[in-house]
Amino acid sequence: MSDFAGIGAAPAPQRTTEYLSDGTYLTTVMALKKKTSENPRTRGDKMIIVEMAVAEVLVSKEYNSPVHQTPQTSSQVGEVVSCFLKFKWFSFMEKMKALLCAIMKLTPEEAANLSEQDWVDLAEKAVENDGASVRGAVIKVKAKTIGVPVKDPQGEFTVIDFFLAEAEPAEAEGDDIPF
Amino acid sequence: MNKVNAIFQRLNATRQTVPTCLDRVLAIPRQTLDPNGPEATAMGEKWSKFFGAKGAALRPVQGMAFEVIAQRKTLLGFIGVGAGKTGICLLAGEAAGAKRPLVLAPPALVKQMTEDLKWWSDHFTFTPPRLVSYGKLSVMSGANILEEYQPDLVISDEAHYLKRASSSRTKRFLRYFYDHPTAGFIGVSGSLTSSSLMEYHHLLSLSLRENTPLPLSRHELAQWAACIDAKGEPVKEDWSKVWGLVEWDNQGGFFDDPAFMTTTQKKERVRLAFQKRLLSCPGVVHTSTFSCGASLHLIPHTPTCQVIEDSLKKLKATWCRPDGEELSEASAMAATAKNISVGFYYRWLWPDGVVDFDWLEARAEWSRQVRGLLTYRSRQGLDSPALVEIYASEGNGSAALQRAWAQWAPLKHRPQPPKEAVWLTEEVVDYAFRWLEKQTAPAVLWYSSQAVGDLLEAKGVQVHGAGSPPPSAPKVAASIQAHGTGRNLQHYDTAFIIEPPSGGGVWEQLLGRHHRQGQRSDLVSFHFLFSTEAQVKAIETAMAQADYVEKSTGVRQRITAARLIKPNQKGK
Repeated sequence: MSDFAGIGAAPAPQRTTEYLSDGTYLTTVMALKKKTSENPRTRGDKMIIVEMAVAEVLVSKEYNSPVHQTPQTSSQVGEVVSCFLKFKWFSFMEKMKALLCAIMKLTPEEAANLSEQDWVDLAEKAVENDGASVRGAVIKVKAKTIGVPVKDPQGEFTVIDFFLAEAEPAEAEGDDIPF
Repeated sequence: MNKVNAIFQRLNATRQTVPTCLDRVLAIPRQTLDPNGPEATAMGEKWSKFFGAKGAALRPVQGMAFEVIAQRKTLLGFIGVGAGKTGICLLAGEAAGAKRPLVLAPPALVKQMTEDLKWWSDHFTFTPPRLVSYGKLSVMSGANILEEYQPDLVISDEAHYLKRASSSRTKRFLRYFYDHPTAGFIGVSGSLTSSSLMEYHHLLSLSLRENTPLPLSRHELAQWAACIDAKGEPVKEDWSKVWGLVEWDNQGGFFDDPAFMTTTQKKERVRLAFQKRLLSCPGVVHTSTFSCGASLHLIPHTPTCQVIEDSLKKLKATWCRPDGEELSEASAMAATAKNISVGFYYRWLWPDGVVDFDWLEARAEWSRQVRGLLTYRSRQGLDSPALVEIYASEGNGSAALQRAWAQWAPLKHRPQPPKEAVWLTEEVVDYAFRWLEKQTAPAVLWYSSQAVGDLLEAKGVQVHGAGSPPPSAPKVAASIQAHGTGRNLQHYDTAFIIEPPSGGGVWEQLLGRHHRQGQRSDLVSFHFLFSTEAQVKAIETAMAQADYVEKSTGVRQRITAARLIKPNQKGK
């Protein structure tokens, strides 16, 4: 059975016009990889890694992170950034669906008309050969720097760029919301 | 499936063509400059004139280096032991037109470099650069040394001292370049890498900038490393990412089909292709020959000793030291086997024989926390163990760090128990001692354990350990750690290694002490112990690492070039 078996049944992304549209960066997809984590703490976790090159910084942020007490700044044009979506996450299929919609520029109608098997095929083909068939697609991405201190009592969590499928309300721009 | 295909077709019509990491690497211009060719000789002469040479001339490879430095303000020099690195480091600032050049050098070399500076100042005209040891960059007081001086050109002699990205000094060094991206970097070393691409990719990025022949994506870099590294274990997908290099190299034709090659053959082929790509990148200067024309012989000695054999058998079977202490870690087991191979083992002398478990456990947990913090979450002002201690003592850090500190703080004042060497037999050291006694020409006994040095001293050998001047007497013993790097010991042509190291880079440095420019003898002989499994493994590991270095960077390694002969075949 495909790893993406549940994607067709995942809730449709909530936005009505564009997916991932209210983001901070305009990026070019460099790779879409399906990997198994080799990190000693998370060994065996399956995940999708999205590698992107920043083409344009739409909203630039500079602020102090309450977790790390050091200034955080936006990535710059030309930097290759990556983020991951873990299969074990409750909202994985939803986020994956949103990501595919953004990459493929699907309208909500087109997305609604795809069968469950179509979604599985779409996802499998997109990650084939490290995402060779989607390399070069341009998507808008909102990256949020968050701290996740609750899950790991051992200590502070490394700052990660988190990939949000749904756009945050405009007034939340610049807020640093702990996960 | 038709709908899906239609979606992908629509995407294909709009998506951009994005070059992959490999595309970028292959698109780097190809430089063809032979370090032994007439062009290099002309450059040597040109730069000798530039520096107003008085009774001395620069070598061709130095001329090439200055040409690159003048053009790019950066350089990566794969320059073998004794091939003229010091001159490049001292004069590079002048060639680049830098206002505040700073030379980083190993602590043991700074003094020698200061002495060399006088010779260079007498023979060439240039503004001397500031010399700083890597040691100063590592300690707490050196946290801002680069920021304070603000060098516009950092020259790193023996740049492999900056290869461990998790060390304090490398973090501080890299942070300086993040904050001052326009500063130039010149890295020269004969052994920039010993086992992995991951060791020096940051040095490549800094010195070659847009011409870095490695992927900038961390994941793809790991895939390349799996195919090229000494201990890499590539899977099919990894080969697909790197095989384009072999096709670019385009030398093999039909026999380069990976389908018909073993993993070892594929690794060798990829390493050679990578070497060509690396050495042909603008900004790279390399030497492909040794600075010394003398032959090099490696002579294994296999003295047998029943006590050692029995102890090693018991250690392997029971994981217990000869005194009954159980070993729990493979690293401790390997270290003990290495020591027993020479006839001794170390144990801690606890006061009244009572083991202080509280101290041991608190220390282990504190070290674990410090290691974790420095590896994953270090930042400016928090990048060395001493700074972490201050950070924790002020109540900062995670709950786990605070717990570890609470346990360690009241116990840290307790002194570490002294370490005692227990000798099972002195036969092996006696064997080496007798060998030294028999020598008619000047010879050196190389050792690495303090215990061996102490025993040799007790037997009347002149021992040069840490803090002592370089050896000069006819028959001496010298520590590999203290004198195995940077020393000019070409007045010796015969040596015996009691404890053969397992690092290819350590071997290269050690052999290069005697097999270097200025060696008058036609033959340099290195004798070494080759009796036990630990010693055989050490040599095998060193050989594998040297093979990786030679094939992937083109720098010839002495250990692979040396002729291996049996003791009864030796000429001297």
